Formats: sequence, structure tokens, C-alpha cells
Amino acid sequence: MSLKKTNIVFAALLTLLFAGCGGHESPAPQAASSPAETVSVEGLVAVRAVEGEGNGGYFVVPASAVFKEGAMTGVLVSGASGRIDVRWISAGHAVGSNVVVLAGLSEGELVVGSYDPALREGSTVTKSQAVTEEDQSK
Amino acid sequence: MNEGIAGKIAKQFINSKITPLLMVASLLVGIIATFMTPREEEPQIVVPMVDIFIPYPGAAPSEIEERVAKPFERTLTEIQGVDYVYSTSLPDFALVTVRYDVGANTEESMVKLWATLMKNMDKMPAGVQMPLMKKVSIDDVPVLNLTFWGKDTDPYQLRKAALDVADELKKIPDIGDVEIKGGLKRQVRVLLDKEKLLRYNVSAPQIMRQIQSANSQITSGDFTSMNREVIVRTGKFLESAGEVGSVVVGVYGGSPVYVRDVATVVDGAEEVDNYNFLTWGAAAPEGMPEGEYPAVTLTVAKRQGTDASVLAGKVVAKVDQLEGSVIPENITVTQTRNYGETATEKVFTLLEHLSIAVVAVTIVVGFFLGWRGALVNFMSVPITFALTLLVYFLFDYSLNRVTLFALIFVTGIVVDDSIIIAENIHRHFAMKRQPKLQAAITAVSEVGNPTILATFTVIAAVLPMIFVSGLMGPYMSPMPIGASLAMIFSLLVALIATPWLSYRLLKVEDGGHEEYDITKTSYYRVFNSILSPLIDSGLKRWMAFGVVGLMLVGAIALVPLKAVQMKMLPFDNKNEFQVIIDMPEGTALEETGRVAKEISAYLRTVPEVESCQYYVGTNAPINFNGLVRHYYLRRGDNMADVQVNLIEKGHRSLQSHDIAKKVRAGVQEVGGKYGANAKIVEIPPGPPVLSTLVAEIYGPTEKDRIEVARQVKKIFTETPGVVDVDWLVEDDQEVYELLVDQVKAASRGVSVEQIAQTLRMSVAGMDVGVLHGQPDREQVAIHLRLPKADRTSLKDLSNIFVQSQGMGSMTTRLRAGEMIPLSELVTIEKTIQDKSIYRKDLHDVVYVTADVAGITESPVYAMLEMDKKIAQLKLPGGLSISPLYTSLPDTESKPAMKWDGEWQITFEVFRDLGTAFAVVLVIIYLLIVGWFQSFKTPLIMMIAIPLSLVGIIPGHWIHGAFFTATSMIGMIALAGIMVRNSVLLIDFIQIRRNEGEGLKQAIIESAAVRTRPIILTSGAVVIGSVVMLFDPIFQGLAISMIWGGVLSTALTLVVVPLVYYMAEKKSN
Repeated sequence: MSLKKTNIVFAALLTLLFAGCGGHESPAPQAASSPAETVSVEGLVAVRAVEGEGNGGYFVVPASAVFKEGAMTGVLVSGASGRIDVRWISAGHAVGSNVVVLAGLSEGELVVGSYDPALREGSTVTKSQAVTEEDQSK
Repeated sequence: MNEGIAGKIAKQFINSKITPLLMVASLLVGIIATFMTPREEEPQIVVPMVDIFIPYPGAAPSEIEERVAKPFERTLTEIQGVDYVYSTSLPDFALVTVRYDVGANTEESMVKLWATLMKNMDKMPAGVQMPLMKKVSIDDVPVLNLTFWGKDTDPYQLRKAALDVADELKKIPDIGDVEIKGGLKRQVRVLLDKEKLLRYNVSAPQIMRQIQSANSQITSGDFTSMNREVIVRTGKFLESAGEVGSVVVGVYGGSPVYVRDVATVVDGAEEVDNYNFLTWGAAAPEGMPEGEYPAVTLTVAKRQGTDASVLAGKVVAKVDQLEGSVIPENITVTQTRNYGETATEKVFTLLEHLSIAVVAVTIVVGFFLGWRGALVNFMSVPITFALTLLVYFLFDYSLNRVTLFALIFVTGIVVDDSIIIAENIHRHFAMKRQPKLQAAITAVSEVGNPTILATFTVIAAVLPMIFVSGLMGPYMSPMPIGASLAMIFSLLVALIATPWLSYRLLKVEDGGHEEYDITKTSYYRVFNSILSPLIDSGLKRWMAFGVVGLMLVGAIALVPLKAVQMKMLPFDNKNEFQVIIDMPEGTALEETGRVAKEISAYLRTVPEVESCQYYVGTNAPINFNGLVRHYYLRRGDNMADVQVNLIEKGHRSLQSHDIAKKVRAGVQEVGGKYGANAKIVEIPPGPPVLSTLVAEIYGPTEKDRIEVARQVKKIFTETPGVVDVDWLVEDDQEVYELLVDQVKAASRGVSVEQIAQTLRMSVAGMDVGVLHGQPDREQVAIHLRLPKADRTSLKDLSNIFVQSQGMGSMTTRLRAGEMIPLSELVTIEKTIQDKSIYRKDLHDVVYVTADVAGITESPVYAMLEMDKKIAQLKLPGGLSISPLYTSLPDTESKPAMKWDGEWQITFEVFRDLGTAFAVVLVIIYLLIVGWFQSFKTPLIMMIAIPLSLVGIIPGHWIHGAFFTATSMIGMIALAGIMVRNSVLLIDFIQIRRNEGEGLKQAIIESAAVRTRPIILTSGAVVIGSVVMLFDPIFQGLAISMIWGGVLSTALTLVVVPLVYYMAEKKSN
């Protein structure tokens, strides 16, 4: 349909042989993002490196931090400014209450200790709530 | 007066009834042709490029290079028409890319290539498998990308929906390749359990064999009895995961062992091997949600010679129809690329410009000749264009930015013939020396023949551009062809239609009956006051020449002073760009994904960005650039592409190139944190190259080459304005080599092949068959592998067991079928993965690539700057290198470097255009010598050509623009126009002198009489070019035409008569 329309426009152009040089109205770009809401989080846990025998160590996060979306595995990470981001990881075996992370996280990063579907990307956690509970990762 | 050809034609048609019919008919066929010519964005460029993959499993790059790549290359160069041969030797296979001469017949080239390959297959080492040949063509570039995304969905569902849609779309006629990027396939995964395998005494190869043999069905024949035939079929295909699980793989302790006993069988998504996410940016349309969503992209290519916009329209309509039925409610389909739309938009913008140019020119003509004169011209232009468009259609050209640009380019020129004729008729009507009809014919006869000559000089100027070779050729060729055709048609229109129209439209004003006197016109007074003193006084004349000469020298001096910089083509204002992310080799998929995610999170905050889509582990849908750069081969855990779509260009003030420059720092800051090399890749306006700046390093050994490359790369990084520096040398990737202890293996009844197979199945996995009778659009593979968690370290590897063959072993005590741990049979050695070896035209090469942005926008200047530093490099052995520009080094025995990339094309284009210009000058000279029968007069006329530089170069300086290939085209075309002005001028001087006028009087009169048509025609060129000033690519041409046109016209009117006076004075 749109082609026919353009054809008519085109025919009009050729027969009338005139076209105005119409300026384009430019709507103001939409405001970037809605204000991030602040959510309280049970606790943020740091990614730990565990010394393994033989060839190097591995990273672990609490099993409760890991969630599945289809075939993908993810955790929620809190960035420097407290912003929550989804991070896709490659998970290995469970070690006690922890899960080995093969790729996607580095040591010391803060992950949300227990995954909460209500938390979404862009939320922020305030510093006071960002308590690093080293003990939880045992 | 002699009527000449022009007069005769005019006489025939001026009162003929056929003339108006011809005019209407031309208009009609033109309109029809415009509808029928396919529209697309890029011109149809035939780049016969063929990729040949030659697998040689297990071989190292050095061996592949020596045994496979080199012999192949040598034979390929024997083929006639082969331009370049590139090869890359990677572990396990070689990739040879053959590029034919641009414009060569693709099918013919493929056949020749195939014949040569087959001829040499017998010389290949054992183990080399059948080569795979893939033709790469412009029609492989998708014209439409549809991104499937949604909140509550995952890559598996998305891919399924996309597949269903793809199946429906394929039914649309004219559709080309439909591909799906990203998502996860359905797969029956047989996840082996190491412990259970050991317990039940079953090995991975055994499972593979059992599943393969169980998954078979065959028609066994038929029975005949009682006059009936009954078909007998044996076996049954596996049709579900349950059936796969029930396959018996062995017997243990008297009871059967099923697949499900030793492995977990899962029917569902395959293991994650890519991440593909869509995120809306700051400039997203109203109502688009924030955040990232899993996405899958469906790409649609078109068939050759079809209209991109029509196809895109049909596909979009079909998808709308499928929404709600085939496409589930929770999946949204968004267009992330529509070249049909952009092509239509481009075509209409150009048509709009064309119309504006025509109207503007008409108004200018109106000022001089009144509205009736303007109307005559206004009606002749569409006829010219209609006929040209018809020829485009007949020649199988498509309407694209290049063909249409050719039309805009000639707008100012095609009205000229009509203007000259109409103006002269107008003048003769005003003189009232003859009856109206007679006056019109006389007027046509008077200027007709010089007009014919002038038209051919302009054609002579543009036509040699057809000989531009290389990739730029197809971009250029529609221009000389289109412009020449338009010129010829405009001449015919001027001789046939214009007199007819003028005779009817132009009025002979009643009123003053006094005799027409040239000396009373204002033009005469002006020229008398300017030219008389200069003609009379030799000193003043020389002073005038001196001033003009100084202006010329000053103008040219702007180029070495870098006030005006040369560049091949400036960037176009597009609606997209890409970020290409390369992580160090050996980076895991999720880590690469994290970088891509962070970069896209940054990009979406950029106010002009509408959406970002990142592809990790797979490539983004390619564009023409990616086609030449082989981006479609970008597949790997350490690679990611981000496709950035900008808001429609009408709604933003920044050009895409400026946005790309702006975000580069931010993107690279994120990339730098993770050691990633993130490059901003824009769509080049002209032919794509490997990279804007490419340094090819040659040398005797790989170590030498890499060492030189490292130093050159360092110079690249240190040079301001040079960005996105990279090289085609992989980082060190760790490799564990498992060396099989032959003695141990033999004594335990295990073969090396068996170990290799077991390991491959366990780690990389293996498709052991397909699930039959499934409704899916894609085949469902049965995939055997260890779960990811069980293959993370060397410790895991050593837990794998292989089964002893027993029989073949040297120790007979050993019983067959015993499970032997791999760790007993192998020793592990850590090494570094061999690096790929690149070759170009039979030379080993290392590439260092970069782009230019910021303070240097033109690669040539960056190259010149780096040249000095490179020449100072101290190489081992006291050698030094001086970069080469045009040819490969003579010897490989010492290190050498050659510049390539955009430079190579720039060099070819300017070389060819320069040659074309030289040819133009000779042809013009010949034409005028033939006409005026003098060797000297043509030289006088051609003085006008260098004078155009006085305008062109300062014009670029004033606009702060680059002197580009289009500027050069403008300069060449202008040469034709300026010579035509001189022709008209001198032709009239000679007519007046033949009528018995004195030399000085004839010159001044001629200047006075011909000023009006000259200013009118030059004015038309200038006004017609103004619309192009706002187009980033054609700006250079517009500047050349406008500034060159104005200044050279003004100077021509003074300088040419004066030189002519001096030349003729002596001969008198």
C-alpha cells in the first residue's frame, strides 16, 4: 500500500514539477529514563575466589543468587553507583551452598545474595544497605 | 545565412504537428520508466569475490600455509581476470579469498575457479577435505532486519517464532536469503555422566554408535501375494527425547544399559553459545520499555535486480498479518533496518533536490528572459530527464543514490542548450529585423552549431570518467553515462522542442520601432568601459594578467598549506553505525557479553541513539562494509558486535559521523577496562576497504614481520588523529596439548584416534543424529556432550575414561571393554596456540589497521606524518623501511611496508580521474580545432580551464570542506562548461569580423551580446548546484561548480577576449 502512495506522490512530483523544500519538524527526544527507584536488598555478597588444587582456582557465588531465564543463567550485580544490573554467567558445579562461576564475574564484585524477581535492572541500592556479608558465602 | 544542421532541424520541427506529440510521449515514457526502475540504496556493484574454505583437520597454520594455501594461491593467479588473492591459514583450515576485476561476470569466474581448484586437488596432501566455495555478492546484504524481542521470553522461544515467520516470508516472491541471527536451537542433549559411564562400562563412542544405528529406518522391499503388494519397512527413527533415552547402549551384569542410565537426556534449548539483546536508547519512540530484552534478528535479503522498497513493504505487511497468530503475544517485532525505506527516502530527497534545482534555475532564467522564456526552459528540462530515466531503465540501472546524483549534477547543464537557443530567439524577436518565423530560424541557425559543439565538449569532459577502474568504477560510471545521455537529449530538445515552444510562447513586443543598436545596451557599456582600456593599453593588460596569475598561484598554494585537504569521500549521514568488539583470544563468552552489555549501556544514554542491539558470539547482520571486511565470519566467544541505530536524520542536528566521533572515547574507555579492542565502524560512503588506514608489513620471517608491525602499531597509537588501532595478530591463547603415550596406549589396547574421538565428544560435543518427525522448521540434532560443569579444568579431563579394545593389545591378559582413565595414557603440555598466517598476492603479510578521526580526517595526511617516524625506525640488522605507496616490495628478504586501505582506492581514483582529465583536454582541443580550423584558437579557449581553480580551491577553504573525488568530478565537468563559454564568445567575434567589423569592436560587441547567455547558463549551473551543498558527499562537487563557475565565468569574460585580441593583433 505504501508503495502505491509513494508512486502517487512521485507522479504528482513529476507532473507538477514542483516540490517544496519542507523543513522537518523535529519532536524533542523523549526523556531518557524514568527515575531509578531505590530498593532495599537483603544483602550484597562479594564474589569469592576459591583456591583449587592443580590448575588455578575458581569463583563462587551463593546458589541463592543465581537465577535461570530459559537456557541462560544470571545473577544481579550491584555496580559502583549501586545500580543493579543483570549479568549473564556460565555456571559450573554446586559447591556446598555456593555455585562455581566459570565466566562472567570477577572477584570482589557485589552480587545480590538472594535473587529477587522484583528487583530489576536500573534499580539502585543505597550504600547503607550495601552490607557486604562475607560470612554468607561460606 | 547558412542554416547548418541546427537550423534545418529547427525548420523541420518549428511548425510540425509531431513536435508536441513527441514532447508528451517522452514525458509519458519517462514517468513509466521511473515507476518500473527498481529503487535501492547502494548501486549494484558486482564485486566478484569468492571465499574458499579448505579444511585440513588437525594441521597447524604453518603446515596449512605451506601445503595448502601456497599451492592453491599459485594456481589461482594463473586464472585470467583475478585481481587479488588473499589467504589466511588458521589451525585446521585455510581461507582463500579471490577477488576478480570489478565488473567481471560472476558465474564465469566461479566456473573458472572451480575448474582450477579441481585440477589441483590431486596435488593436495592426504587429509585435505573438499573445499567449500562461497560467492559473496552485494545482494547478500540484508535489506530488512526484524528484531524479535519481548519481556517474558527467552532466546529459545524467540528463535522458534522467528523461524516460523521466516518460513512464511519465504513465500513472498523476489525475496532472497532469510537468516536468523542469535537465539538458541532446539536440541536433544545427551549429557554424559562420567561416573555412571565408568560404572556401567560404557564409553562415549559406544553411545554414539548405538544411537546412530538405532536411529535408522529403511524400506526393505515388498511382498507380492494374492495380486497385492505389501511394502516392508524395517526400523524406526527416533522421534522423541524419551526414545533417545531408551536406546540400549550396552549390557552390564546381564541387564541392558539404556542411554538414560548413563546420561541425562534433555529436550530443549541448546547450550548457550550466543547472547543477543536489544535495548532502547535515549531517543526511543514513545512507550518503549527501558532495560534489555533477549532478542533474535531475522534478516531478509533481496534477489538481484528487485526493488528493495517494494520487497520491504511486502515483508512488513506480511509480518503485521502474522502478529497474534504465528508470533505470540509476548513477542514484539521491531524493524531495526529497512534499506527499502532509506532507499525510497534517499531517492525522494534527491528528486526533491532535483525539482528545487529546476525551479531555481527557471526563476533565474525568468529574471533575464521574462516568465515566457522561463516557461520554455521549464518545460524542456522534464523531457530531458524523462528520456534519461528511460535509458536508465533500458540499461538495467536501478534508481539509487549514484544514478540520481548524476541527474542532479547535470540539472544546471542540461538547461543550457535550451537557454542559449531561447535567449537568442528572444534577442532576435527583440531586434525585429525579420518576420517572427524567419527570426526564430535565423536565431537557431546562428547559435545552433556552436551549441552542438559546446554540448559535445561537455560530453567529452564527463565521458572519460567511465574509465575509472577498481571498486570505485561502479560508483562513478552512472555519472558519465547519465550525464552524457542527458546532454544529448537536452541538445535534441533544444533543437526540436525549444524553437517550437519559443515560437509560440515568446512575444514580439510592440512598441518601440527604433532600430536595434548594440552600443546602447547596458552590457555593451559595461564591457566597453572594462575592455577598452585593457585593449588599448598593453601595460594595463599585462597588469590584469598579472593579477589573475597571482590569484591562481595563491589559490593553488592553499593545497600545500593544508588549508584545503584532500580526501577521497567524506562520510555520509547514515542512521546507523556498529561497534566491533574484539576481546583478547581466550576470553569466555560471558565475559565478552559483559563488555558488550556495558558498552551498549553507555551508548543508550547518547541522546541520538534510538536503539542498540548487541550480538555476542555471533555477528550482527552485515552491511556492504561488513561484506568486504568479512565480518560475516566473526563468530567466537571473544567477539561481539553492537548495532547502533540512530534516530532518523531529520530529527537530529548532528551527523552520524560526528556522533561516532563523540561516542568513541566513551566506548573505548569501557573497552579499555577489560582489555577489549572496541572499534566504531561507520558505513563508508564509497567502496569499503579493510580499514581506512592499513599498513601491510612484509618481511622474511614471521618474527620479523610481527616485530616491525609492533613498532608500526606503536607509531599509529602515538599519532594524534589516528584511532581504533588494531592488528591482525591474535593474542596468545593457552593450549593444553594432550600427548598420548604410544607405548602405554598400545599396551592397554587403546588407539590414539579413540582418545581423540572420546575427548572431542566429551568437550566440544558431537551431533550423533537428528530427531525425526518433528514439526520444527529447523532440524533437531541429538547432541552428545559432557555437561558444562564437568568440563572446566584439566582435572575434569583426566577423569574421562576410554574403553580398551582388548584384542589388538599386546598384552593378552587385558580384557576388552575395560575402562582406562585418560590420565594414565596422556601427558599434558601447555603451549600457545599457533597464530593465523595472512598472505596477500603470494606474499606473507601482517596487517596493522586504524581509522582516522578528530584532528586528521584524511588518511593521506596521517600517512605522511607517520611516514617520517616509520622511516626513522631502527630495525635489527641496521635496516630501515621506507613505506611504499603503490606497489608491493620487490623482495621479501628484508622488512618492507606498504600503505593500503582507503589510500589504495584514493590513489586509483585520482590517478584515473587525472588521466581522464588529460584525455578530456586532448579531446576538447581536437573538437575545437576541427570546428575553428585553427591550432591557436582552441588554446585561447582552454585558458578558461585553469581559471576555474581560482574559484574551486578557495571555495573549499571558505566552506571548510575536503577536496574530494566529487570535487574533482566537478572540476572536470566545469572544464567542459568553461570551454563552451569561450566557444560561444569567440564564435560570435568571428561572425562579426566576417561581417566586416573591426577586431576591437567585434570583441567588445561579442562580450556584450554573449554575456547574457553565458551568465544565464553559468548561473543555471551555480543555482542548480546549490541544493547539493547540504549533502555531505556531493558538497565537494557543489563547491567546485559554484565557486569555480562564478569566478571562472567572470574571468573568462575578460581574460579570453584579451588573449584573443593579443593573438589576433599580431596576425593582423
